[in-house]
Amino acid sequence: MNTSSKQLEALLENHGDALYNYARLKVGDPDQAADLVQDTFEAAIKGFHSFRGESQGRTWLFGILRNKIMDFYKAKYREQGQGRQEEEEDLAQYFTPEGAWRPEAVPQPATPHLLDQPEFLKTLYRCLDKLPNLWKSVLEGKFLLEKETADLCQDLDISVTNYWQLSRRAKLAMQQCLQANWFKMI
Amino acid sequence: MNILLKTLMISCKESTLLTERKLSTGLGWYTRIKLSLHQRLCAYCKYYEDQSVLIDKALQSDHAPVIYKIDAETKQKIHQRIKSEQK
Repeated sequence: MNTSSKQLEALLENHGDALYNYARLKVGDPDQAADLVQDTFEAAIKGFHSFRGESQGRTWLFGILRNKIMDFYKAKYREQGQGRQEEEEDLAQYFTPEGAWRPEAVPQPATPHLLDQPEFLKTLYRCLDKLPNLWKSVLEGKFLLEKETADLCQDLDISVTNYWQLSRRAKLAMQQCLQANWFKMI
Repeated sequence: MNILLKTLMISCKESTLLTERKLSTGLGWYTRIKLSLHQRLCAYCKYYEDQSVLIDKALQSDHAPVIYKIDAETKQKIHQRIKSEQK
């Protein structure tokens, strides 16, 4: 076995589960998640020369995987041909016509150390699963550091203003879901 | 003074949109003042930002809860693929 194969084997051994877990949480379907991890390694094999250990292997692989997940959301979004969100109408459940919070939609203060609680994170990923693909891709786009917001918008065929609106829409839905399934329980 | 205050005043709906702008591309000095002034008077909109930041962080790979493991078949396929590449 040559060095690159050995390194790739080691990456698969050390991070295969984490990559699969992440993909599965983001796309829901086990087969799709398996495909995404395979695609990730396919790209890793082809692009191994560009990986010179400058970043951690884990970071490098997750970077590839995130791009694959984004592509997956975008393809799904196009396939389903979702129409543009009716922003105004849609926000009426959170805000009054004057733009104030509706009493039932008021954000709650987050308790400390939530990110250390596995149960909270599970709830959060269940909430993510319920969102439309376009919203998911907007949330996912936050981590593609190398990608400028403008590029993302072009890919999704939306304006930058639209992107901010969609971010807010997705966040409001996530917060509402967390409120109902987490903050009200404790 | 009143006119100045009025132009600086924004609604909660506007403040949440500015929050998302702040978290993605950042704000200019004028919008930054508008947002921070609003948040100083409105705890809910501050909570909105805190939760928004929390959600972004939680969705990063470092925080993904460990639930699933890769299946043996997929792992084997990738393993074979790596092997076939070395020549």
